[in-house]
Amino acid sequence: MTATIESMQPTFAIMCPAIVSILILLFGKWPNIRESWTLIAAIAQFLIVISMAPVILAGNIIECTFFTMLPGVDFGFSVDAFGLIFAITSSFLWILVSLYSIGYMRSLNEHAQTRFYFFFALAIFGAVGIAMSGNLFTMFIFYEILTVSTYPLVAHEQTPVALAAGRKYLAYLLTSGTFFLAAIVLTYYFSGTTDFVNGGIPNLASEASRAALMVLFVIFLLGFMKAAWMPFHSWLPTAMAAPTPVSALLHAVAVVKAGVFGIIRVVCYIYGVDLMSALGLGLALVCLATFTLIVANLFALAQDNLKRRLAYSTINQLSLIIFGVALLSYEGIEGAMMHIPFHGFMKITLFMCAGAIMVASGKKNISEMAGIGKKMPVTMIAFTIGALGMCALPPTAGYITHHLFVHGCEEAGGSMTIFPYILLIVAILDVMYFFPIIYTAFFKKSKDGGDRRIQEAPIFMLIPIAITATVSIIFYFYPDLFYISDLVHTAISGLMGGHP
Amino acid sequence: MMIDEILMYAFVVFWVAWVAVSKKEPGRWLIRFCEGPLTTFATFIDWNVGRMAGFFVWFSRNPAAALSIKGEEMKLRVEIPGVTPEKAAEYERELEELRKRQPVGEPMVRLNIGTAMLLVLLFIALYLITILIRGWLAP
Amino acid sequence: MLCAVEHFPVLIIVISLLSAFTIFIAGWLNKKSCCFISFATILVQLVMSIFILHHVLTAGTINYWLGGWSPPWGIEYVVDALNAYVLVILLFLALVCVMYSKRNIEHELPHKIVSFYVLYQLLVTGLCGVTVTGDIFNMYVFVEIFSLSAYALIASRGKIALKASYTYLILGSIGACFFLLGIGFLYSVTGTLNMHDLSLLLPPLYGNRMVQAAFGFFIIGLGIKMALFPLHTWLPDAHSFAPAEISAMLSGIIIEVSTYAFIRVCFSVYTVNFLKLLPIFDILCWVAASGIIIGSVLAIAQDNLKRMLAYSSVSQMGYIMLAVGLSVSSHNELWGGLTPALMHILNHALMKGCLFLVAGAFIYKADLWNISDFRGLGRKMPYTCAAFSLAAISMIGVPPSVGFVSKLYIILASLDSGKFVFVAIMLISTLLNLVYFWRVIETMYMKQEEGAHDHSSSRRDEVPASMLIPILILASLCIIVGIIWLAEIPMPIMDSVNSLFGLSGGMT
Repeated sequence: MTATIESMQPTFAIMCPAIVSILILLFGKWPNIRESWTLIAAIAQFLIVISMAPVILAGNIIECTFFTMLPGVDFGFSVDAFGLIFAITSSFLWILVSLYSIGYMRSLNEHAQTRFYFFFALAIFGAVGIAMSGNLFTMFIFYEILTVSTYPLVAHEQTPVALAAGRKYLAYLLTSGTFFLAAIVLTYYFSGTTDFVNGGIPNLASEASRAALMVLFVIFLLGFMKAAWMPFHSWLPTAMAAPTPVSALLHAVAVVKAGVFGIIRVVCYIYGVDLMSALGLGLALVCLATFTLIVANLFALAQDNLKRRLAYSTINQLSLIIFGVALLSYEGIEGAMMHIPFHGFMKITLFMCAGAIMVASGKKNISEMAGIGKKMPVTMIAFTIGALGMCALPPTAGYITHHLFVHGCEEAGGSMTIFPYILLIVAILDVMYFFPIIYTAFFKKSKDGGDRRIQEAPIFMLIPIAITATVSIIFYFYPDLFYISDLVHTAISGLMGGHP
Repeated sequence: MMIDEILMYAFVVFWVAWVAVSKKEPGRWLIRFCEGPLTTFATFIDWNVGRMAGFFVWFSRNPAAALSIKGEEMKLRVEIPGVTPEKAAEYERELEELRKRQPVGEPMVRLNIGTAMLLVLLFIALYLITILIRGWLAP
Repeated sequence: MLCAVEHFPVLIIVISLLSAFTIFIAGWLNKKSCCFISFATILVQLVMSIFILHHVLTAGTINYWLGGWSPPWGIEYVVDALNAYVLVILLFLALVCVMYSKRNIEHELPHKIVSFYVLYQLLVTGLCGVTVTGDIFNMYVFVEIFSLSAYALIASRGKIALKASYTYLILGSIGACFFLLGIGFLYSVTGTLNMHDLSLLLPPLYGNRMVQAAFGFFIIGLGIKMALFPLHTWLPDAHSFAPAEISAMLSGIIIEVSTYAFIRVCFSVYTVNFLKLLPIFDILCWVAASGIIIGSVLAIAQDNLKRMLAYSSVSQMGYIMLAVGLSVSSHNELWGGLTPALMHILNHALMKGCLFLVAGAFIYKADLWNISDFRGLGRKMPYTCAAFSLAAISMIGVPPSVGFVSKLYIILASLDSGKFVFVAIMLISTLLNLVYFWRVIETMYMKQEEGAHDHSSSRRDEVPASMLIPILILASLCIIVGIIWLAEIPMPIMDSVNSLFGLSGGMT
């Protein structure tokens, strides 16, 4: 069965971005050296993280503990299969986004690039820390680091709009941080531990009353406003004022995924599936997620700004993950866990394409993009792949998870069997706002005959786009790339035993 | 292959065919609904949340002054404006002016020794009263 | 036979007092020597205090009889874990401030260098005296010594500072009077002034009206000194107009030492049994909680940075008093008793010390007082602003900073006492802290200077190293000490204090 292995590997993986952030500050005057540090650290981190996968797949947990914070609460890292999925996703995408941001920041000649890279590395530090923390307290520490370190990135432009966006961002996320802290302390107060345990903390149900557990779960949800569930979503579209690499990595992968990651952690590893269904919280969470799924898509339909439309699509997809885990069934949770990396790859493709269009043509609105597909074929083909993934159409990764969610609904049975139809409506709405973009880009003729100077974005930006788009397709044929599907199965068999 | 998947492909085919024939995206009414009422509603909520936050900061600048301004505004609202249009206009103008008024920030230096001493004396008085009452009530 | 360390309590005071006179004489000959003499003295004191702390933890309480007269006839100095801990904090901050003061005082008060250092040394003497003494009247004397030097130091800038100092003088004297009245009451009932003696003689008299009234006088008297919420009115003016290092000392140490005196009176003169007799500490919790909220709300309103920090101090004192109020009812081994309160005394000293020194640096360099003038400072003074951000983030309570640890422990303590309201209060206060500190950070880093569109135009213009190093030391300690607290390294001190006062989990 599961063995615990003491190893410093998680620490090394987490320290990579922390150390490189200092190097970035030191080498701020020499852009080439500064950027190469980022790349080296990103690659090193990815290699360390991926090297843990075989050990984890053998059914082990890698742990390293530093000191005891409170009785029963250690500060330390503990890597299990689920945490590793998130860590692999964010560390691999960090490599690509570093490449991409070199191209993006240099071609736009952005100011304060050292600050940008510094806080970017810190944000990754927070994200990987969240992935690898073994209990809620450790997770909270990194959760707050992630929040604070992304503020300078959101407000990067320093225009009044960006400042307002930053303020809103911080107001929402730090408020949710205090709720998170309250929830953690209450959990600790009830059960004396906050460790993530397969199947939930055993004595939580016996120590706290039913009502207290329900209230606690609501506080937890409020603590995860990073997951942008409605009606606490409005920070995310506003945060699109940030430069595109930030929107790409942080608001498609690191920050928002930290939110859903936390929700899955709480549902599966703090409450446990049995307690959740006994309390009837699964259905409540499904309803909340469904509401967000539909409303977010309706909002997305109304947006003309490409990045904002993508932001609402992100809100929708995050709720899809919450939806999956709330089904409390084997395939639902499988889909939820798998959708974290899958959606990460697809959404980052879309965001990077939006950024490439902006760099190459300066266009931000969809209505201005007529005919751009012919000028920037590589970008727009990648965009199409990402869009197909969002609409859950083959041959993309999105199809697989959508399939799992539908099966998950049926497996859950009861009232859940109507939800596949809601998923269908959601997918139809997805088509309704993604297909017009493709149609506009490829088939519409621009009124002024098109600007002849528009051409493909710099090669630094194209390579990451091509890679993520390809990976999104590879996942369809071979979901075990980067051990993803094996890791998911390991995680779930730990949670619920074998496949029913 | 499940039924919802078939429906999905059917919709995609329908969408593409519709666009190919009419050169327009299907479901304009839905998009209009989203762009119109839905967005308006969302902005309204957002604006109100922002206003609440703004009010809080405004209020905390000088709570006493802010309270009195709000009080005056309430009083004006309760008073029924006269029947003549001039009076109504004047009433509107007064309300508007009141809204513009900002509570002044606290003065930089305040010699509020008096207040503090009063507070101290009040404390002692309260304290002695409680002690005395305890003495009377105790058997 | 006393070992050398057991003489240190009195030596700390004697060398400090002697040094004050030495500075006065040496200052006539050479003005520059003042700072160095003061620095050297405080350094020696700090080293001694660390030895004392070590000795107290390993060998137990130090009792030093002044002049060999045994108590209750003579004055006794008693150093247990609580005083030793406060002593180390106070001398450390004093050392950092004196290091900072060299350039700042040359700049701000060029004609008053000698008197500044003499008064500063007297201030330190008074503070150390309050901390080490085991005699309640002696404590009053030292309270007066440090208060008088503080009045003079606050007034040293002249003009408007005189008014601020006057307010403080009046209110501080009222406070001292109450304190003295309380002592008088106790003396008239028991006939002794030694704290240990009092604690032995008082328990049968707890029902006595006189003894209860004395406690009320202690609360109000020390409440004024430590700026407990409704009695805080002297504090904002005094903090805003004092020189930077004195603001830092005022906020970081002087009100904390008064808190120490309060804790001492509550737990060493009176005992836990008396506090359980009357619901005083429950009321204290509520007073502190309202102080937390109102202090923060008023801080939001300020545009003057030092004034904002002053109101923030009111709110932070609320944290400490809330923790003191909860100490009787929470019994956990780790976060029960006085642990959160003592923890926040250190944490607040570090954070507020750093913030006030940074505020002083802005005034030193560019005469900037108001937050709205801080545009573009993040580029001009990168290190100072980074230090400010670290300290501000830790005030907000982002982990793993010291502010987070205090917040966590106070929340745990209030859960432990079953007072859930205070959990909410602490969380709301976090958000309020966020509002007023983030405004400053945003202005410093994110808002551009008017007229300056080119970012490279503003050149770096840092404060001198002798001012920068203290700031950076305090800022980095905000994080390092936070981790040390999380790792529970200093807990033996806390356990020893709690078991001394019968507060720890093991005792119940």
